[in-house]
Amino acid sequence: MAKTPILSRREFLGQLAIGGGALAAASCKPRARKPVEPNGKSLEGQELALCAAACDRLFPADRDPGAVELGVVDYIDARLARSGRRVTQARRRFQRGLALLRDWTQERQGKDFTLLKPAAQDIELASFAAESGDEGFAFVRQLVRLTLEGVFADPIYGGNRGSAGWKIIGFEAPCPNPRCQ
Amino acid sequence: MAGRPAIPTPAPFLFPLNQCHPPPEKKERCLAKLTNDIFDVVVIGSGAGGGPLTYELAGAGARVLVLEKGRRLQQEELIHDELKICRGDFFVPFEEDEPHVLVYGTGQPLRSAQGWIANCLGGGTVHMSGFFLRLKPDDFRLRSRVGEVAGATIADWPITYEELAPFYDKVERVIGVSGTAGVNPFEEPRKGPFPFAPLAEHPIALEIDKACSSLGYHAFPLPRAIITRPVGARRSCSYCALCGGYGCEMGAKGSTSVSVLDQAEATGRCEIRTGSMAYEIETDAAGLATGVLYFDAEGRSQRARGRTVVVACSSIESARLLLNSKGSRFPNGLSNDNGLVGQNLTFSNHRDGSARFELGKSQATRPWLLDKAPFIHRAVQDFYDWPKPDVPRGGTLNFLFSHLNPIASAETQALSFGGDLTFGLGLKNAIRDRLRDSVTVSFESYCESFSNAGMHVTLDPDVRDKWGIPSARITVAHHPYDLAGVEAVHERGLEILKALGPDETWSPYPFGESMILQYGTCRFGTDPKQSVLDRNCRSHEVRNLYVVDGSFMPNPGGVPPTMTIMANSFRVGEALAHAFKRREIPG
Repeated sequence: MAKTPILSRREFLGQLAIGGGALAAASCKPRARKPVEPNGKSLEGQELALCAAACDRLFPADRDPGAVELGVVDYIDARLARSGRRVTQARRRFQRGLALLRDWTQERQGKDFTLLKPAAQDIELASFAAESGDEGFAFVRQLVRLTLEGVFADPIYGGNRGSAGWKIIGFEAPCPNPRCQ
Repeated sequence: MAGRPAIPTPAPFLFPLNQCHPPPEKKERCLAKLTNDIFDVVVIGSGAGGGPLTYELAGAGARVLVLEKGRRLQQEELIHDELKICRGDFFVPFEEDEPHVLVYGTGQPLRSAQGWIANCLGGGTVHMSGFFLRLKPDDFRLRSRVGEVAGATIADWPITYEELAPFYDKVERVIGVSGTAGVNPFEEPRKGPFPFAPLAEHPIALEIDKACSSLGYHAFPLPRAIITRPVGARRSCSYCALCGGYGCEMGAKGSTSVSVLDQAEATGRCEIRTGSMAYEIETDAAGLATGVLYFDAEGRSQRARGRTVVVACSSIESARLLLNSKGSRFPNGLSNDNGLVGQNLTFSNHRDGSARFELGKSQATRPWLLDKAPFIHRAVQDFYDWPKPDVPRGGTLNFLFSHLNPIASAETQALSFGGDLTFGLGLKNAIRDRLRDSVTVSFESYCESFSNAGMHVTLDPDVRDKWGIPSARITVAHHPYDLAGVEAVHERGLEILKALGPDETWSPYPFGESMILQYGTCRFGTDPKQSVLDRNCRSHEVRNLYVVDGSFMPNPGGVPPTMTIMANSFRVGEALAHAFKRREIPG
């Protein structure tokens, strides 16, 4: 394989973990349990606003809820607030990516990303991903991953509010899951 | 130990290590007083290679120490939580902590977490899918069957299928394999039925049977290392939707942890030390192994002494450990005077395909799609040997439902394998179309690989892991027959999918190797100049050293390796147990 894949095969296969099956109905009693992650506080006000605007374009609301309504911003804020060098680095990359996106939009449109109309935000996000360079594209990938995690990870992590993300695709994690007794 | 300097100070940690969970009280009780002794056997690694042999030896009365770098997973950790289990370092370490270095051909070296299988008690058998197919008699004589192949280093095995067959039987019995014998016309010679009745299958299996039969192929029920009736503390399969990639909360999946290691510990003669990262095998002036140096869960350097040392860390990591074990007698690394440790690396090759069936169209024409059963369990081996007149080896096709992990499934809609980005309503619609309104049936394949001088494991000259141990560098270069075999099988897979009348078929990525299915780095053989191990997986050069993971296998054949590694581990374990009973264990 001459070309280095953008997504490594291991990531592709490992995360997909091929070998499972279709839905099986298993029921369990949900129990009240504290979120497993700290309550936010990794991003600042402006960063949160930009993050929310961008996530909501990646996974917008229509007849089904979008990223913000599903709690994706809370998820990301909490996810990046964990301790450890790896998370710290991820947080710095994320914050730097947000700043790059802000500057990119400001320079091209003379306006803050959050003040643009949704259609214009889409154009800026797409051009930022395609044209701003490796760091910009890596940030968009990071944002996509975190957004989809916030939509589809177990609700215990702060996103996927009321399992509404799972309802979009008709999924419910079989027991035992983090919300089972 | 002659002339050996004091145990070196451990390298400083960059991160806190995984905490070592204390084993249950009963397990702790029996062995505390043994810890400073010389063990009969020290086994490094507790997966498919280390597990069965440990069971055999402890059962025969030998005192066995198992060093496992990962943790002992607690029952409450075996949950269906994609974020925790599949997307963090639950099974596989982060590249930042324990990098491999990956080189494709003559390309740039890249740091990567690829090549790790699982770091926990039980190793990869904990999260495996458990597709337990035997090798075929001809897989043991590839060189004789195919003849000399330019650019390849293929060899015949020093043992035959017939010698391994009783141990395949033992795997089916002890680890627990469910299936239906006698359907596959290409089935290996076997004695009787499977010890466990087959798992229930989705009605689409019958459609695949029909499609194959109309094409002149022969679909057969796939055996799995999943039990269908309770055995001891193990319960039978609950048909949860998330199997491969997860540990099994029922104990139905045949991980070595539940099927052989619990039993070995119960003898009172087997101690398992988790959180123990072996970094060097020590040898004496006579060139015999005397023990293992390892970092414990707190990062302290420790020494475990044994009369016999068995290495079973995976093909990549076992080669790395031997190459890192440079005594005065073995300046090139342990058992590496002929320079073959790390050479002849192969992986099981594959290219997958998928077919999408829209549920909305299903009511009348394909009512079977609405069934919710999780398993298809159909495999095809019509293209195992000579899939085309000019292609000597193919492999096995395995049909299964696309994995349900929602985050990863959604991610493949957002980011293609080539890196194309889809977002917005386009993404949301794709996610609904693919994950809610359709069922996706896929095939995997496991295809032969022709070992060659360009594919190997070496020590990276620069990169080290968090302990400061030199990392493995994995260089990948395929023989042209690898690609040809995979493509031939892939074509047939798509042909079968299309015969099912889907709304769409596609292949998500190009030809590649399954980095979790590794082979060959300590090839066994009869000639000490051409192999690292003898027919019993004992080192030609170090007569009390054994390697029993996939390293011994000269070629993958066309099936996943796990069952064969386990069968061979039972075989070597039995030979060692006999030696132990005759007091022939050296040391």
